[in-house]
Amino acid sequence: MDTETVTAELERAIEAGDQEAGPAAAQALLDLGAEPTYVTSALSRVMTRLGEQFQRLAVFVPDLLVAADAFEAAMQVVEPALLESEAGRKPKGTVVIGVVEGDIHTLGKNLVAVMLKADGFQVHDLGRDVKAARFAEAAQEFQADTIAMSSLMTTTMGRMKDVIDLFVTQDRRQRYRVMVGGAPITQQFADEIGADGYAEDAPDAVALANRLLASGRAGGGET
Amino acid sequence: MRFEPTDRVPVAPLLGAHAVALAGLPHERACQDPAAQADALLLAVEAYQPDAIFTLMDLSAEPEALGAAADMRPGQPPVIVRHLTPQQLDTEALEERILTARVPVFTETVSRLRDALDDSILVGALICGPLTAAANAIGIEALGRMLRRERDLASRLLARLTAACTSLLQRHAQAGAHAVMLLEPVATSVILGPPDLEALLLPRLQEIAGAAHNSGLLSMLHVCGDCRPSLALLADSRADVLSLDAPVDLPAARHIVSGKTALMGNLDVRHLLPHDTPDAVYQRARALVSEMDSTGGFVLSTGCEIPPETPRENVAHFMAAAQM
Repeated sequence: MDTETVTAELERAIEAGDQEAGPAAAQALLDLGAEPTYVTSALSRVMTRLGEQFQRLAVFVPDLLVAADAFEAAMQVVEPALLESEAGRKPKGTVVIGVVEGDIHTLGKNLVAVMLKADGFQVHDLGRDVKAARFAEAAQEFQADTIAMSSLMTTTMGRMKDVIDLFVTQDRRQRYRVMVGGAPITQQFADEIGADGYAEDAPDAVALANRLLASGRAGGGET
Repeated sequence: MRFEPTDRVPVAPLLGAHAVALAGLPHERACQDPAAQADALLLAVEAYQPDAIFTLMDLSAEPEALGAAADMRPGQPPVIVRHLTPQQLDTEALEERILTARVPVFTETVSRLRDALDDSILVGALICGPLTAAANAIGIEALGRMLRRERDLASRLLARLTAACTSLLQRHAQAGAHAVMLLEPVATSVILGPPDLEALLLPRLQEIAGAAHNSGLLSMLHVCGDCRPSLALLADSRADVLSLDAPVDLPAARHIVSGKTALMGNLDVRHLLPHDTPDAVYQRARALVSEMDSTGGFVLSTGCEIPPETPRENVAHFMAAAQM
């Protein structure tokens, strides 16, 4: 089979959430001599397309979940080769992501993490119920430029401000772009707590991360 | 709710969490103590004079009764911290199991409310619908993957949980409830698209509505978030009342459901009620009443449960919009 045919098979497998055919197609592309970045571009393209379909309500969370599984499986095949290449060592940006303290709802955060990864960001996922101090520690440890926080509950959304306040107290607020999201979160809330942006859903979060990146702004203090 | 003439639009906000805060009651205690929960709700009835009062919204009670582990944290709703495997949920024992753990707190609360109130105020029990119970019992991501990879198992679990919901609503009927409101936040359109809703959930919703009617209960269905693509299907759920969240335009929804169900909703509880001014709340509620009140079949309510921190004055202005 030629590269074009296998690429089409890779995209079909990811869309279908096929965890066997996806990585097999990724490996076949590498075997055909494709650059690792060619494979990741194809993966990124299909995840972006799914994100657009999701925003049009043409596909739904279950479709994204299984596609994300197939994407992750394909990435495991590509990553070793990618890390050996110059391009693979330069992520777009480095994101530390987590669900804030007191909240264990990870669905939205997980989808955002995969979509960011598919778009070329390096993502460090801290999981759920993450204390402010852990966000601060991880931001330093991974030399992050972006912090992404999620909360599904009105009772825990206030913890997002704790994280931002901690960065301010540590005199590090300017180093990070802070993105927030989750069912009870609004743009107004994001503005009130001093976040740099609010995203409605996973594709929107990728667009926001790119906008913040392109703006070249340091975090905090923007309008 | 039955498309009969009224002298004013009925008003029935989901007061639970706000009522608990109003009473100065720790949230976790309200979830475990029926006397305390009922007292808090009665205090809210006295303060606001609604036409209906519903039990506290607690989407962890049924999953916990089914075997998942819930964690109580001070001042917060309980959260599920350990899920079940799908196999643990795949059993006929759910009909009995759902009546255990903290679920009796809510049936007892209903009983206390009925003892304290006359028939002019509708007493409703909020219960987890089968899809949301499944999502909270096994984890929403596990359920999402199951909907694509093990559709037969998903269908079977929903059937078992439908039987469990039926068992629970019958218990609420025995406790004296006038209505049950099935909570299905997971049926929001970004999660459950219309094809899945029609194939997997709608038959179950119809079954539960039928069981509620057979038990003499008014059947209500609440879906959170934006469910506009699914409205025509939800109208076929046989629920007497469809309670919708703020993202749905209710006048437009009325055309879609075309008299098959009454509509209830839908003031925004994310920003408007907790954070805007009392006048803004009043104006929005009045506008909604004027848009919806001409043909009956409408209950003024909130898009979801009122957050605990909502100022009392805002809730009072919301009520005044219907009670003037």
